[in-house]
Amino acid sequence: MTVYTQEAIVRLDEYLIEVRSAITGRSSMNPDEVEQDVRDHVAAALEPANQPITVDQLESVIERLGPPEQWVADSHRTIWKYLADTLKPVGHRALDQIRAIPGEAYVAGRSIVTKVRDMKDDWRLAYLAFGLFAMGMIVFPLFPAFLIASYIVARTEMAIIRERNTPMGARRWFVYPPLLLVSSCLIIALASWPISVGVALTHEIPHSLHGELGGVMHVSSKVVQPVAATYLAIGAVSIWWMFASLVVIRYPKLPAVLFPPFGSKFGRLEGLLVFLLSATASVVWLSFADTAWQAAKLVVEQP
Amino acid sequence: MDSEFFDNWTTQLRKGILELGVLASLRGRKLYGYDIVKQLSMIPGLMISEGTIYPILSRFKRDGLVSSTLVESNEGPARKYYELTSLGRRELARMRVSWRSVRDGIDSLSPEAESP
Repeated sequence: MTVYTQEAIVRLDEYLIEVRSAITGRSSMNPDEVEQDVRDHVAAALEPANQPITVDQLESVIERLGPPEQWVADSHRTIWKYLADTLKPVGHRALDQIRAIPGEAYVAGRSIVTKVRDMKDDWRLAYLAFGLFAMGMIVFPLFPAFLIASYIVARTEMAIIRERNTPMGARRWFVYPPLLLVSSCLIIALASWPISVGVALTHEIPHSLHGELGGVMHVSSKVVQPVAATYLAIGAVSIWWMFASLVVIRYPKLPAVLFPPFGSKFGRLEGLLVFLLSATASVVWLSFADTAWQAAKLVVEQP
Repeated sequence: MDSEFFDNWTTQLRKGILELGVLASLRGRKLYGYDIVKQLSMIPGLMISEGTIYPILSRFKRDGLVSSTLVESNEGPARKYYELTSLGRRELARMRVSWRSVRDGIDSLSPEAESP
């Protein structure tokens, strides 16, 4: 059994965190295994040395092992690992600032960092995702920024869970809030943006034409604008949904990638159903095309 | 400029050959990680960082090219020994044929390369 000085233990832990950070999120490698291999390598390389192993002896082995981020080609990085790596310098700067805090505050901060480091690795990102989400609630004006950060961390956690093929278990309660909120907003925005186009177009109709348009459309002049807005919105939405559902039929895994966690419930069959519904709505919409054309001509030809 | 070009070229070359080197070092024997590193370190210029082989071994294991077993050691904790699987042996044979073919082809293009 290799015995290290306290300083060497801290240095080895730091290096192994670097190793794990460099490997985690790579689609084809097992971070636990690589970490253990590196630990064994260090022990084997220091076997002939006098014990306890000092930090200088350890440093020479670490130097030969090299920086872990250079071990793996970029092609093995997932998109979430890429984002996490991009954000890493921001985290390092924040840590440097924490280290610069003097006295008791530093000791308290250090104790929190140590506790997080000692946590079961699989839970760290789940806690962080929920922590960022909760922090956003507390500092509400900054909620969008915290939500985006929380969403990225939650997606990273999900990618790691999928990569390790482990069940999500109770971690879902920490990871799902930012995912559900962002996915819901994205789905609502993507599904309904054509409504705003339809409504915006009807604002161009001058009030002086409402009476004449009511006659063409066979409705009261008071409801010309809402009826026209509804008609245009239904047309725009049904055409957009037809297009979107065709994309899903062609790429059935896309909803799962874009809208976790419930996007995985939506595949080719659901895409086909939406396509049929939106195609039916489009046909009904087109059956009023003649009336719409007459009304549009009136608006366009107004003096 | 010359040095930068040569450094980039050797880096690219090393990336591909190191995987062949790891599999070749395991041909017909079991080795633990540190032993593989020592074997490969004897080839000049092949390895810049010794740790590079561990992600490769992890990937090979996931791809079924190597397997590992824990063996008790008199000198310390149990050691993890790697060996080639039958798939690993087949892939190594194919890689060696491909490597020889490229090496011989390059040599035949420039027979006087040793005396530029």
